[in-house]
Amino acid sequence: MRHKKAHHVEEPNLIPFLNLLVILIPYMLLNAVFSEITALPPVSLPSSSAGGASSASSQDQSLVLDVILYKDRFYIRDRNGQQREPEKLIPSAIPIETYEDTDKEGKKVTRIKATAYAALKERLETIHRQYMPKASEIGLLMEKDTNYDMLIGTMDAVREDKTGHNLFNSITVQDAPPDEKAGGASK
Amino acid sequence: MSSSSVKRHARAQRRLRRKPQEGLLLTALIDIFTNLLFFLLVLSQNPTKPPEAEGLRLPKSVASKQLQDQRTVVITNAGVFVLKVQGKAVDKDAPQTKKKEELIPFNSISTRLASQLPKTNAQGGGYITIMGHDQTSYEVLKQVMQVCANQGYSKLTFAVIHGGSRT
Repeated sequence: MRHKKAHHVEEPNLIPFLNLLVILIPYMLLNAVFSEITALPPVSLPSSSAGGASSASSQDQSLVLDVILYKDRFYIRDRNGQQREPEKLIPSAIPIETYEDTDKEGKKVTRIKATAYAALKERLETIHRQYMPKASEIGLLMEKDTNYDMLIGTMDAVREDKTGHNLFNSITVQDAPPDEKAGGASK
Repeated sequence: MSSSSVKRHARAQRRLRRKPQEGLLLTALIDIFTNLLFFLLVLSQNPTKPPEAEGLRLPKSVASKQLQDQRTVVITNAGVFVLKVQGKAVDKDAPQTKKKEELIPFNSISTRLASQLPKTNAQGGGYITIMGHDQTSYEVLKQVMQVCANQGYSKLTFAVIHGGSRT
């Protein structure tokens, strides 16, 4: 019996440490940020580069893409107006499907379906590979009532290809020309 | 059964009965707590909290670039204001103290925003962050961008919530 007593190990008193943890963990949980804010790479405005038109006319041959966000389609065109007929890629259109979403406050939100973004990404990837593997410049042209969410979604689609490699990383944002297709109809 | 094994069993039973009542086993709990603590410590390394402004829900994006500490214009669904910068990207107090009447309404952005946005003379254009509500129309966004450009901020960064890919 005496022998056993000698081997009995006194356990450290963990209660103060536990108290500390119990206080610290709820505090940190409350302060934790689960939705992190990040940033897209800087976007430039056409006005700062002294107008896209003048620089475009000086280097007629170079191909610069524009993606126009119309209500019903993404329209991809060459900024200098050249037709690249054989492949029927530039100019070309990708239909946009939208859906109505309801946010937490019950307000209606319009978003573009992921399939449209994916189709745009795929088309741009093809063009990038075939015509301009080194280009990174692109223009995003938007109509007045396009919302910010659609802009960000399109920028995401344009910036990287499916494997995460750079596609068109230097983005210029400007106004869309009037939609010829919808001009006579509902507008 | 041999008598020796019976005796051994009896001894074991006695020993079990005599054993003092053990306290709660806290080791596992402490392990969990410690792990949680380290997880939260790592998580709180970059506290770029979204500003708690009313009517501001940032769009989701795959972008993973850290938000820089720079001047920020916030566009909520009711109006626009300039966020104060105090060493951190987002001044926690500024949006909460903003009352509705202090916001710049959308129809006077071009006239009133410029007075709140000091001109910059950074070479090659200054950097500015735009935090927009995800339903802000391009019309409003364009006005804000134009004022920024006029004040010398030609490099616009859009703030987003880091989220899953849309495609």
